Amino acid sequence: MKKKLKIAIYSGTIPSTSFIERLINGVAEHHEVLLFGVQKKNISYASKTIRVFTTPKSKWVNVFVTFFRALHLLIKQPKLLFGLLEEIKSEKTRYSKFVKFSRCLPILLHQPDILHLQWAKDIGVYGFLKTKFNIPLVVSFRGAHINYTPVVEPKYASVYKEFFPHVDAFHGVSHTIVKKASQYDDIRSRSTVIYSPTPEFFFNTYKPYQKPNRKTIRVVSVGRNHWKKGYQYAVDALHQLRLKGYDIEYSLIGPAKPTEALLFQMHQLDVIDVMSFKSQLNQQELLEALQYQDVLLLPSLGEGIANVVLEAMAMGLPVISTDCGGMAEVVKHMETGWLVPMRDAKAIEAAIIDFYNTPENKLKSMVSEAHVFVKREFDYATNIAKFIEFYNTVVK
Amino acid sequence: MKIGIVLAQPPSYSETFFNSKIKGLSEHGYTVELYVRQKSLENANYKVVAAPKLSKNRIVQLFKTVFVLLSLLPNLKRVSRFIKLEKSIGRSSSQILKNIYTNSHLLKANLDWLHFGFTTMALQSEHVAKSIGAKMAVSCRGYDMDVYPLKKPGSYNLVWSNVNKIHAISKYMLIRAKTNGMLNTTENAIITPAIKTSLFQNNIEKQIDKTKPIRITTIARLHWIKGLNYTLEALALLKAKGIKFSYEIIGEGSEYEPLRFAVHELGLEGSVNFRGKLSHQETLKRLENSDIYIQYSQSEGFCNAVLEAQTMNCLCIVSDGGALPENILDNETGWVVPRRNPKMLAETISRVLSMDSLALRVIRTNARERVLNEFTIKNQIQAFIDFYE
Repeated sequence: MKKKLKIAIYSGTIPSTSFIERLINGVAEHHEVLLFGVQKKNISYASKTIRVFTTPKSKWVNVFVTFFRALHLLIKQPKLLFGLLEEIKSEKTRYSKFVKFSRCLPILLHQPDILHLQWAKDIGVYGFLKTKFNIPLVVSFRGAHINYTPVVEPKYASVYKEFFPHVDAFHGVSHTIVKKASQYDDIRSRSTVIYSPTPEFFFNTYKPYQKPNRKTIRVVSVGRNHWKKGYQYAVDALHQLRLKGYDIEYSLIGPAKPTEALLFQMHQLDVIDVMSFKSQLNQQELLEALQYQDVLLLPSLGEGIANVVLEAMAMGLPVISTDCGGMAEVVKHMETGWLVPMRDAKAIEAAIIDFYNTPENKLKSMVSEAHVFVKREFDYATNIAKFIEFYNTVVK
Repeated sequence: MKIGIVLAQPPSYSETFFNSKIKGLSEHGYTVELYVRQKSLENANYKVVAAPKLSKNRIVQLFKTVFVLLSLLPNLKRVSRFIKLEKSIGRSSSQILKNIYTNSHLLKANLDWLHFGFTTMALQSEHVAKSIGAKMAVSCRGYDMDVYPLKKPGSYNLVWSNVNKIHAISKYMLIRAKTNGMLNTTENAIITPAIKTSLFQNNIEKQIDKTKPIRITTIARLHWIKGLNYTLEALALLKAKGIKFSYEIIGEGSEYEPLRFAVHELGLEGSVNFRGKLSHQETLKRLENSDIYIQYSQSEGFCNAVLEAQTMNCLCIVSDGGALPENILDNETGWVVPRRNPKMLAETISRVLSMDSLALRVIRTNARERVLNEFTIKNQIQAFIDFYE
């Protein structure tokens, strides 16, 4: 058996998002996982191979802890400490110097074999750990940080151009995102696409599709309140469908209440009585809520690959998705769902009508194809194995 | 006659609406005083009274409260009337104490009219006018009527039952006020914003030069209600048709990120410029060099910028959101397009571009003349004099 590696899966916060937590638990079955970052909530990991080194949230506790960590590093490897002190000189304020120092210190102290940054934007802060201290560096491309951050904040485009040449390997959640990130450096030979593992849980509830015997079309979207989720286009479509006489209900799971903009739109378009909101649910509740629905709609303007679409496909719920990010790799139009252009309420409206008019047999085969596809490409065990293989190539 | 106007802060130089109103009324022998939450650094030619500030430090706040209460001693009768009125509607003692503190500058004022510049400004001050023996007026503007009551339904009920007269900046605003619970019996007046005609004496000769990119402008905060994403989508459709243009958005705001991203995704890089906030003078300069002005908002209380664009001989294309159809008469002084419909907006723009220059000149002239005749500060001042008399 190969030697166990120490892999730092870094997202900045502990615990991280559900898909990063899945990765952490999966990798921990094969290697030691080190977690650095600020602890937002209490969490205890069952696996003994997951080791947590938090940066305290309280400023004063952090000063205390950082002092002892610095002392520890001074005794262990003084060169690293002086190197870090040199590095933080470039920070502008005293506070930002301290923040960088306190966050990087535990990483240098515990020297992972691989530092895997989950969010590309962090490379500006942590990239020096590779260039100065030669810690092997892996960066994930998951969505927003490649899709729109460098467009809206051009300084990140420069940061990517500066640091991408030094990265050992890149992981992309879709082929599309790797292609998009290629504009910052020639990264193709160092990139691997590994789809996000989807939990077994959703596959287990799969049932062959049965068309419900009711007039109302129940449409659901899942996601937080954020402009890139594109709810506005869904509501425009909903309004048009109602004008055409369709009996339709639209639920949003994620936001407990609408934003000011959405609230205004709902009133102006008179759809307030057919919309409902549910705040974030746990996995079991989400599953139950989705089972009540007829079709999942993803009206987004940007995604890596939306997990919720995968989960819907796994459990056998038909999906309509915009052609954003890597969604086209999953939703094949009229094969595994409906794929519509972004920012196009008319197209969403047409897809819902088309879904409504599609005969049960056709829906049954689409839903089954979607299920089989996700099971094959997004299987938890297979994709974790791909990550393990991926890490092995980095330290070969 | 003495009029106290309540605002969040003194109007900046560019807020023609308030400045011209205050100046005009003073010239007609009215005394106008301004009551604000926060004083600004700009010098004003009128009396400005600020509300006492709240402190985060409890002990400091305690001292401040004692001081403010002591300063109210000469107005004890007013304060006791205020407390009585507040109690009659069941407000809690702590809220009443808070309201005495925040309204103390108003409770000391000697006024004939207490006019709240925004309806939201009258919240928690509903009983002040009655307590000081003044009449109460409120202005109904965009956010006041369009958005706030959706978030807090029924929040104006006390305002409606205490106000003597309502000023709406458009017919649309008055309708919204009625939907939001304004009593049918309350006296009201529609007084639209106005422009300083002296700034627009120069009748700029304009003709669209089709060999160059069409110059299109919008003046708007980067805010969802302004419908800028729909505008960008319409422009993307135009671009796909091969129409060349250069589009400027003048204004800043919290929604730069989604709009900037939309420019990128819609393939409009190089054709759209975010100019940020500009001075009034710079803004007028931009309008002077613009062929088409677009205001494709989801709603507007009235919109001053559209008035100014008309006087600068820009061809105005607006949505039918809120009061915009009162501001632009469809096919006479510009074009009104159903809101939230980028395809129709794009069609209208290209239809306008295909019209002959003579027909466009007629529209420009109609628009400019209508604004210069009907939306003058002179008319506005007279309307306000009638309002208070």
